[in-house]
Amino acid sequence: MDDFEKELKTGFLDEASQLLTDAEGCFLGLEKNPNDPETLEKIFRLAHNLKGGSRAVGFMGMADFTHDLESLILKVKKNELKATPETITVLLQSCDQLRLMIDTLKPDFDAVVDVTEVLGKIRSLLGTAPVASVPDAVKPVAAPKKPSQPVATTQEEDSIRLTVGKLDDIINQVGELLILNTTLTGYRKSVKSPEILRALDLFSKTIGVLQDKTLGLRMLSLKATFSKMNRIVRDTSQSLGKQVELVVSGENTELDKQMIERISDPLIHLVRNAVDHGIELPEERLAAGKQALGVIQLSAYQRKGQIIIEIKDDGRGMNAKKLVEKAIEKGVLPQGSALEDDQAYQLIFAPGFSTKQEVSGISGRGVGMDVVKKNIMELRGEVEISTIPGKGSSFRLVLPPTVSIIDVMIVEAQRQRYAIPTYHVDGFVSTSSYLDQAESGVPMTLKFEDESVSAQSLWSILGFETSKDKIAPIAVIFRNSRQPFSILVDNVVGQQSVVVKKLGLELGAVKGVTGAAILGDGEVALILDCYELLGQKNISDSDRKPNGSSETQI
Amino acid sequence: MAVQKRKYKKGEEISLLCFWMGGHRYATPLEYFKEIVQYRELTKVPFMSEWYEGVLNLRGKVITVIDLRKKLKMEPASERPIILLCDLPPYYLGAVVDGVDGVQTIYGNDLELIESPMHPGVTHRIEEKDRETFILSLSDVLEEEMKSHV
Repeated sequence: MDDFEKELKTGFLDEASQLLTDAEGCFLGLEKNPNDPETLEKIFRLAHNLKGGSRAVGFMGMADFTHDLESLILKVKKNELKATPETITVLLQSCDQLRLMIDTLKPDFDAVVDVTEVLGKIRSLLGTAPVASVPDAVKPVAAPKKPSQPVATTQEEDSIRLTVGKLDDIINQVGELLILNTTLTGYRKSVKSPEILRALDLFSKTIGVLQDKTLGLRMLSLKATFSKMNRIVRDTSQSLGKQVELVVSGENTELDKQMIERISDPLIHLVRNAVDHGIELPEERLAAGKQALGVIQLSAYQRKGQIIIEIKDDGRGMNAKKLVEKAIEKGVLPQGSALEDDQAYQLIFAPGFSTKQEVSGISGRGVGMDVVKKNIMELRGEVEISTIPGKGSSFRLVLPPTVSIIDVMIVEAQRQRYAIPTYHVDGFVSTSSYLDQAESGVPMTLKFEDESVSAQSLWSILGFETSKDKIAPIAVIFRNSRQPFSILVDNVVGQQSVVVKKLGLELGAVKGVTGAAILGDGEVALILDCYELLGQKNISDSDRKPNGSSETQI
Repeated sequence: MAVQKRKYKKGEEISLLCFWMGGHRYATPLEYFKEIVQYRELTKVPFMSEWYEGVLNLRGKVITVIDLRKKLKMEPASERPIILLCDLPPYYLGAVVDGVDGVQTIYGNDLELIESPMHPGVTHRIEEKDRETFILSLSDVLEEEMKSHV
């Protein structure tokens, strides 16, 4: 076994025990509340993830076991099986069994754990064939073998492990320092002493470096994540009788560790889907005049400060009509629905939507794509889909590089300041030459690089009372939507990095507001997603497509 | 996500924070308050009800602030309102009132149940020689607030 495979397996086992620890509470919760759909859903996903992961790294025993476990949970979830104490006991025993498996596999990848008893119970609940007893050649392992010598990891000496929590504390404190720095910089003008000024400059510089370094601590390359995909493509394509080549590029792109962890599962799903649903069987491909060998391109790159991860296949593409039909059949859409193609593609993210009839071990149980979407949205990212029937599909994950600090433009409207992510902004235009059109609050159009751009004052978009005195002097341009638009503000204060703070629970989700930032002087500025903001405001505006968000909303 | 309801026992000693709203004296058990903040200009949040004041930076935390007076349909009657920081898990928010009157300790049996309160949230009354105080259940007010929000 090469080092790489070892690394993969160890990585999986670590992840698996983490997953199991997370799910322990769920299993216990089941005893108290056996029918809680949320708990069942969590356990189902756990089993699903373990199944996929173990299959990918080659722990087939665990993959088979979790497959049956998944089926059992699915039955309970669908209410085909009552969550009796007996059933719960079997679920809890399965949890123990998985833990034992993980502990046994850690020191010895080839170990086989006897699962006959628990598997038998699962199958008898499922009403499927009992398990054949373990072949004689395989000795059941009763308890995890303790390795006689501690497994030495090579880097133990010069690295330390620390919890993400501790790291986050530091990052938060650095965030506070940044705010402090902005405050101090604001007082620069009133400082006379050249020594203090020099010290201030040095202070700012040092904090900048500190920020980069601390954020860098959390940054990892996508290499490990991407190389996992090779295995997944290989195994998936083999079991489906397809020929697929994975072409990887940009694997050195760095992302926040937390981000990497949370996109790992979505990526696996997307890659697997590309093989399963995207790439056709060799004969089908040949008949369509393509090479028998399908190609999936997995690439990562930066675009305007955002990280893009793209999964592109040269398969059959998606058929909008079929998707809609399927959705109606599944009850995801009401009868007689008609959707634009782009909206139809988004259907694949709807919970419970899966275009394959049969349950394959690969994909197609309807768990997955909705989770993909949810995970990415939680990271303040987006999933873009483009597809050409017959030519292939491409899924682009658009992600901010970090979770906690973002670069924003601070703008001012009616003396309130707002933060707009810099990567959203395409430019600024003075409105002075459009004064004749002006009546604030009334949409108007202006030109930006020969493009016609609609304009509306930020204040009125936010639904606050507008005084009809004069038009705001600066238009902030947004072009990343079908219809470019701009918002009018009184002033652009500047660009800075801010720590993203969550709005309180009391607020729930406010459309167009993604969080809050504390500015140098201690004031709170809301972080606006102008695409979402305008998408919402323009829904009733029939001759204009909802901006931006139409690409991402279902 | 229900907020815990506070029950009062007969002989129990209760510390109340007393405050003014719309010319009436209100009181709520002290244990629900974290601190008192001088009113200041807040950051407005769009698309919210009128009684929703905005957000406030309190030592690096972004805190939601509501105007309790507007919420209870009272006319703001103070030049210098006060923000009471309420800690009612899972909620942690600021509530604007006209002013604070201080802390008063009473006994459970001083409380007189009110059957039909003048507005939601008032549960009891304390009758003293020269004044009347209404016990306000913040959780009742907030629960209602959250409902009207969703």
